[in-house]
Amino acid sequence: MSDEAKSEPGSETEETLERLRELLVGPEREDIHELRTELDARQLNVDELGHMLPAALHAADKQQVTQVLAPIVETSIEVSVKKNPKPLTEAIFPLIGPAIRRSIRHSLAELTESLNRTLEHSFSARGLSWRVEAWRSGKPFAEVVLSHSLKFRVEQVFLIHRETGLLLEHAAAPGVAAADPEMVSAMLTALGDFVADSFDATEAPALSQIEFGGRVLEVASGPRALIACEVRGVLNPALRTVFEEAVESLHTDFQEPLQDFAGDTEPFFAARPALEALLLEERPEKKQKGNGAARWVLSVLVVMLVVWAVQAAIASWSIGKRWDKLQAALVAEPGIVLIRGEANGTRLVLVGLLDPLAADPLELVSDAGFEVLDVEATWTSFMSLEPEIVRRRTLKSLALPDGVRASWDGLALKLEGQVPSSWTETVREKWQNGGFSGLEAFDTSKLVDPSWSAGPH
Amino acid sequence: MVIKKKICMLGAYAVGKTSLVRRFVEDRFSERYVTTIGVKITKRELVLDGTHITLMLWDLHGDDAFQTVQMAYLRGSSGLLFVADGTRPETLDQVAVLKTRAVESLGAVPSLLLRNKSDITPATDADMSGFGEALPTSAKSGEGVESAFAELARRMQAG
Repeated sequence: MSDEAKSEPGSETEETLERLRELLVGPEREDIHELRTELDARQLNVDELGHMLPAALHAADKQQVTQVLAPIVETSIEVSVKKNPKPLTEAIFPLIGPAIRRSIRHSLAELTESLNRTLEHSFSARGLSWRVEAWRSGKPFAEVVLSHSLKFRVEQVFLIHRETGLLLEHAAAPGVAAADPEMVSAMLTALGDFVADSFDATEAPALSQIEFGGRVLEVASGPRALIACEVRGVLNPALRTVFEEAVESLHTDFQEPLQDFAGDTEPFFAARPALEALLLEERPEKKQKGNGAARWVLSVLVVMLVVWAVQAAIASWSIGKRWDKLQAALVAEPGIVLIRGEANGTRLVLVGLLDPLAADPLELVSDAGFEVLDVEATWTSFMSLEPEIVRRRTLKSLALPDGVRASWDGLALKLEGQVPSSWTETVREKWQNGGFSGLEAFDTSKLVDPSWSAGPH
Repeated sequence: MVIKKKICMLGAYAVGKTSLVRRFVEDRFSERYVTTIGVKITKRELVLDGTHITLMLWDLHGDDAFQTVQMAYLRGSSGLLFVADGTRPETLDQVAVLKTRAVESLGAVPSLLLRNKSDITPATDADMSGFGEALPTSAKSGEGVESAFAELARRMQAG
């Protein structure tokens, strides 16, 4: 359409043109008009929707909205992590640490439990005193053992900006000569980069601990900053957790300064106290004064207890031995039959049968080493037929006069010597009447009446 | 304000980077580190417009047949110093390569090109055109080093 033709106002040309337009693009015009209207309407709708959406979400049934959004959110997270895991990791960082530590604590508690059981059998004097400490303080025994075996001192703490290696703040224990902490921080960072590069480590900080000559450099890292602690001695492993918690709380407390860091370290002066709080130290020799006396008394009591126990044990063992000896003696002694015997501590109870011609049991008791006063003895008289007793009884009963010798062959008695025949007659008659119980044979053939030597009657 | 910045010094092998700055920096680490882990760090403090600035200078190992510069060390740098040997224009080519790689890793950060060994007159047939606006420096005389640091710091503050 030529514009020049339009220049004549209200001309035929214009009318013709208009009619031409109508003919050629009439229907399309209407479409265009409709489309335009719709587009405008749509734009309006989008704006309106934008305004209404938050309100709509707020008013909607949370469950339904969540259900609908869940897959979308999941996919979004996937995409975000794939594209660049950093933002998400940084956001979650303050949560991950504590969660992981909690689960580790549980596993460690179990480990400590089993460790406890294994350690239960250590009976050194130190072990005993640690046991008492564990019982008193409520800590698990293994922990007490660990805490007494280590001694250390945190000498320096560096707060380092991770990306640049610049020193943000620094704290040193009194008396420690801190040699240019700024350069140390930078070199440490360079070392970390070097290690990561050489060993193809991922972006995560490569170094967590450097051990050297009796010292350890513990490094706890976060996404933007890290804490390096120079420790002299052997660090109690539980304290690594303290460093990690410190780095986490520093990330929270100094979130903005860390994010915006462009070289100005002034905002980090405020981190000094937190760093100084990490200058920990432990020495086992340092004992609280209050417990000194108590511990003394306790150990004396324990020693006394042990001594008493040992003495009691020895005493009862020796009594046992003496009792056995006494019992054996009583059994062996002719004319004594022990029916019941007990040793209660040092008291003895003896019940049995006693022949009048037997040895005095109390003699045997004191021979065995018992105090006679501690003996309660009940003896019932009886007549023993033991060979030795029979012999004694027979001889006693015979009341051999001088000049008569007796000789025994088992329970057969043979008399020799000179004695009036009337005596011989009497004893022979007694023998025949059973007056010598237990005597098996009686030979009096060798007895000679002294008056017969003068000649036969 | 206490301003600290990390800057890196790059250049071809044996252009004299290390001896250039030796007199002007606080130094406590051995030269060994440059060849072993590829970097040695020194410190330079200066005052710019009343502000005290601490520059942590990462002296990176020169590029040669055995070691390439670890781009990882560049991370977080606020400025770069490129050093070429005024008596060997070919070292400019290496600087160009290094600059490209650095920009790839870091993006565009303020940088400065130094033409070292300025105390030695170059051979007459040497093509010095590539040096352009490079600042002349000399480790022998100490010329140009302090102003190089100041200039870089200025560019970093501005940029």
